[in-house]
Amino acid sequence: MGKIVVPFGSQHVALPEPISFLFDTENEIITKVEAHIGYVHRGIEKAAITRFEYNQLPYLTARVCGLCSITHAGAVVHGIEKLMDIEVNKRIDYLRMLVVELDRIHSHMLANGHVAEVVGYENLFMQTFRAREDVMDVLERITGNRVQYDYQTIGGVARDIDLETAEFAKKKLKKLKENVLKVMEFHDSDYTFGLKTKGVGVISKEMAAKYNTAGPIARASGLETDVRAEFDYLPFEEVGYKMQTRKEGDVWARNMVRFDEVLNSIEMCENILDNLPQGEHQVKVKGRPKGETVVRVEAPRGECFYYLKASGKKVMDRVRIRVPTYANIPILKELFLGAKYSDAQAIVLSFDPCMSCTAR
Amino acid sequence: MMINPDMQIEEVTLDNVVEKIKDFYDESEWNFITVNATDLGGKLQIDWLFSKYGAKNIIKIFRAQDVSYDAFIPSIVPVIPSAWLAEWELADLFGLEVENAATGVFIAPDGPKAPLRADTKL
Repeated sequence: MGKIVVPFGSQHVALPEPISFLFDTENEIITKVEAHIGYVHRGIEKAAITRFEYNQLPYLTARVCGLCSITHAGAVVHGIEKLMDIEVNKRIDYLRMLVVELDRIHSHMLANGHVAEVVGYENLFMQTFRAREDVMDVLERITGNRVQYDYQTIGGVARDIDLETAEFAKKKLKKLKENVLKVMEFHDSDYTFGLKTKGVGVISKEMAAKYNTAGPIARASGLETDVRAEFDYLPFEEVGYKMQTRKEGDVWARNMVRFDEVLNSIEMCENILDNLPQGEHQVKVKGRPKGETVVRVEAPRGECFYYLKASGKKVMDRVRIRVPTYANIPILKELFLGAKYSDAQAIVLSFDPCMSCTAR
Repeated sequence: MMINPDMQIEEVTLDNVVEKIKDFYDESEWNFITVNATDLGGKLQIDWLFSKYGAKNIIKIFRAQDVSYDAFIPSIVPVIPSAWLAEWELADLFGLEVENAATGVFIAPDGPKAPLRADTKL
């Protein structure tokens, strides 16, 4: 059979966001890939250096992504605090860590649910999303929102938590852990689910390093990289952070490494809630940012990088955002080559792509 | 806690940056983060940024200063295959001529040209 060109997106049932791939296929095997990712470029970097003052940037960058808004606001907050020489107290660190890890949990549950859906497991998708509701309840109680959280601010967090909220969160996390273990057991034991996900879209550790793969995608291939271990921005090791890796590098391993991280994040959140230091949830802030810095934070999807430059004015000189999906597009493009077209949906969704972030 | 990145900046030129990165880069040791341009008012600063696997806070930066808008930016893709995306973005968002870069990937065909240049008013 000759070459057939198959469009995948920009509006596709498996893709919640607009990205387009053009596949050249021969006998349903993908032989060439063209990627288009610029459908919704929103100009946030331009807005950050023209229309918004530095103290509004956490609000602006939280809008890079609805799902990991905590990550983006956190990154810019860490950078601006460095440029203004602001040291926050330990309670603020712990509250920030709490929401960062809760954010990771709900994002990973969403990603794994979507993978289940596209490999034909509608019920597993719904079970995963049902379990996710517990962490959504906790985030809503702490931040006031289910998505688009404006929690981290320069010099602190928007609001403190009380003992009642801490108890509420612990109960919800306990229930979530039980449900996650059930869903993981299904991933581990279901033969047909394994057929659809094991050995599909395999990335070796060498490939992961060659293409500078980020986050759970890299760790599912055995590449030990996690910004929480490589960049001091919050004291993760104090609350039980452990890097999670798998070796298989396939769609299944990417889901499993995310579940492993969910369990570790639950443990970290429980430790934070049990050992929350005393202190105010805001410190005094004065001055204006000056100088340049880089910030790395571990978003749910992997390394999120910010470069900030300021010269003591209200508006920054440069705000550069490099998100994890952006880092993972080159390996994704390579991975399609030689894959069956029928596996393309599972491969894409196993990357947990975020075009909202990429086209920031 | 306050972040404290160890930014190791090495000045390069557009003529020698590929060689410098080729000599430095070991994919098992260094993670290529991105290429970044900063408009300093008519002249650009271009940074090629790397982090070190398993090390704390280390950021290696190869920095080219005073790059003009019409400069030809060499590609590091022969050394780092994943760099094409960041290089193509330079072409779209700063309107730069980047070796082997396609355009129209990050900005729709009817979108503004070179939006991140300081002189582009939106």
